[in-house]
Amino acid sequence: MNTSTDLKKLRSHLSLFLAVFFSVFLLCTISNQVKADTMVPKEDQYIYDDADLFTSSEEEKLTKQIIQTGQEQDCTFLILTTNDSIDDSTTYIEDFYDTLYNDDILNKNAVFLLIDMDDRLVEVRAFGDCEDHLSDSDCEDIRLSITDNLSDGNYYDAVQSFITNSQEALLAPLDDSSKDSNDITYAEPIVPQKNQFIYDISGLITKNQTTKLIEQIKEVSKKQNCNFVILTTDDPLRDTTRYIHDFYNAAVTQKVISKDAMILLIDMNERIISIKSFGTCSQKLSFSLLEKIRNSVREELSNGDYYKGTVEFLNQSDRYLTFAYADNLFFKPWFLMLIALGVGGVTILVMGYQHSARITTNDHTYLDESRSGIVARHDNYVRTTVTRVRKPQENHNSSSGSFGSSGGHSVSSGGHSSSGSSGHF
Amino acid sequence: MVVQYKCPQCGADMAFDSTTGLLHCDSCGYDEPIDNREGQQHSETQNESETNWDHVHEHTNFNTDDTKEYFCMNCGAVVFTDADTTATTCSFCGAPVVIADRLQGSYAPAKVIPFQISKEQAQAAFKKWCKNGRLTPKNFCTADRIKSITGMYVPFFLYDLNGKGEANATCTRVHTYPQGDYICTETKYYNVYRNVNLNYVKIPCDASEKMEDSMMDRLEPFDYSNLKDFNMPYLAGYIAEKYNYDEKQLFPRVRKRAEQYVSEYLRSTIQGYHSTRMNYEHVDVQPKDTYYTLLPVWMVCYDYKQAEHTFLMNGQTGKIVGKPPFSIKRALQWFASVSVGTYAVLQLISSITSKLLGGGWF
Repeated sequence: MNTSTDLKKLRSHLSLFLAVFFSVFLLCTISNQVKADTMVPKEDQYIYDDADLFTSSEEEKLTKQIIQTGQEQDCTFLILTTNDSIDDSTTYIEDFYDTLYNDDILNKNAVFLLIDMDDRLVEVRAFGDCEDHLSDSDCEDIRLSITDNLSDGNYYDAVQSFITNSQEALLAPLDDSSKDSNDITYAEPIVPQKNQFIYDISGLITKNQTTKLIEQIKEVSKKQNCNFVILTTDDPLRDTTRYIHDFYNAAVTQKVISKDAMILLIDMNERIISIKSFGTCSQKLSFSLLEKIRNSVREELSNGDYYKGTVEFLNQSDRYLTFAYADNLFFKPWFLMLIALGVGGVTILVMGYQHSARITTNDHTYLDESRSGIVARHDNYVRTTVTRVRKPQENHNSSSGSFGSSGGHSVSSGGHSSSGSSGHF
Repeated sequence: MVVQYKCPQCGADMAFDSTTGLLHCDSCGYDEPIDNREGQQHSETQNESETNWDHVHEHTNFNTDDTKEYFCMNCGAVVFTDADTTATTCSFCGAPVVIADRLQGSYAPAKVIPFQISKEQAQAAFKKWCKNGRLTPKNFCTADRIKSITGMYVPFFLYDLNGKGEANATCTRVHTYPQGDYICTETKYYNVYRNVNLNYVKIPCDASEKMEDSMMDRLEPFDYSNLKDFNMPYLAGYIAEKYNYDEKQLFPRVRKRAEQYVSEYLRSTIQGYHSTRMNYEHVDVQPKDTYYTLLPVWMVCYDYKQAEHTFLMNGQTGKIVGKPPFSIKRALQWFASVSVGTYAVLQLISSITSKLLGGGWF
């Protein structure tokens, strides 16, 4: 009788502990690490409010506004909100756009607003014809104009001003760009060259500095297994992001660089710095890290020291890639759990060991020290051998190792993962 | 022959008192020093006999006494003993009884360490020990589970040994330094020789069949400053047994232990080298003296879940040896709480670090 009740008790206790343990584990995991599922697209739905930022009446009003503005501009506005963590907001939006577009829910002209409550990030992104009207800097302007409202928690107002600002931006450049496009000669796309990492069209860096930079680029590239490219331009660019992406795509298809790369663009015309990361680099460096790199580059560039700025770009990228916390085991919940279980196990083992008594005598306990000792000893030197090893050389002439041949990598899809940060200096 | 100690004042039975180290009469409170007592029948000690083992069997005829019945001098009842018992208490009147026949000849102990921890202290220690056990079942200590508590003189042989050790080893010292474009590693080889002569004093070895050797080894060390010449009154009021294995039979066990000690000492003398490779090692252990000694042990028998457990305590130093019941439930409890706690802390640190490094707050 006794044993069976004890057994039942034990079972219930055991299941309770396991339940508590796993629920804590799950809680920690969910709150920090679970990735957002892609949203399910629906026809005639423009607001995907996963984070529940709007009331239903607000949602209704906004939908009306979107439909109205959309018809005027031949452009769809979409509002996404999420509470879950997102690896890369740009990809997240692009993926969603692709699904909508493929399902014929959306025509190709669209402007997206993503409010990520987990990272507290806002992203504005335009597609199709809208992309021509809303350049990166326009998107940035719209983003900045609504951040204040968002910070204050006025999500409804923020979205409203997003729609009106976008509308204005869409209206304005339509005529301007068609007029201006005749006068402005846009920068030619850069043709990637083998073993060239600096395309200094503006001539910001002297020859001496270039050789030093190349040395550093080779070193960092080899260390991080990632290519670094520096682009400068004087001519106006139609779209900074596209300019960099075009170069990247061309370079990867020609196997000039591997698909893991970081590109710094200094646009002297608009005075824009843009940093984009691709492949594993983009996985390692979150948007906020790219911002940090860009900010430290901007300080140097604003002072007019372009060489220092590029060096800073390399140093900071190197620093953050080395830490690469997204890749760091310490940030993986399963690894933390493993450590926790290990600590628990060791504790139990130690306690179990202490549970029974230990032997507390040793070889000196019963030794009569006064009548014991060394009778005879000698330490005779016999011989010496010397081996010489060449010091490891630091400057090995091969960056070839980092040019990975990426067999089945299709670049034209446009679905490559990348992240970027750009802004004025 | 049965020996019982009567109080010269009131005639009641006297027993050895662990706190005073005197014979004590519970009835009138009279204390008597043990040296005054006449019963020094233990004159036949073995320490003079050096390494001569053969004398042991001269007295084997004592075994014939095993079946002999003893009667309590107080009440006349039969004193229940098994073949090894040398001291006990009368199960009828509770009078301490020492069986003198079984403490004679080769069975006469040379030395004894008297009890220094009383029954009450042992009981209290046992209870405290129960509470401290972090892996013992929780309900284990709530009930008084002590079935019996026995103060027992366990037969031991104490060995004085001489150990000679010789070793030859090849040792190296390594020195690394840069030289131009090269890193040089210089290894100096030495031929090292050591010869040690070690004397070990009174290594104990349990000579009782009933006691588990590993448990007895854990009870060590005993404090030899209190080692007394054997005197029968020390046994009054306790259980005592005679040895089942003589010093010759036990010697291999003690030699193995001493050989290990010598080897450890030998190796500890070779120092200051980066690597040591033994070429030759020879250890020889020879007995010098043996002392048949009774050492005090408190035994607490308790049962838990239909199984009997034994708790042992060094009757001199109070060191505790026992195998307490192990609770899987409590082990899991500890495991779970430690794991969950660690995980929570780690997760917190990890979250904070990642926020600090990659934090993008607007």
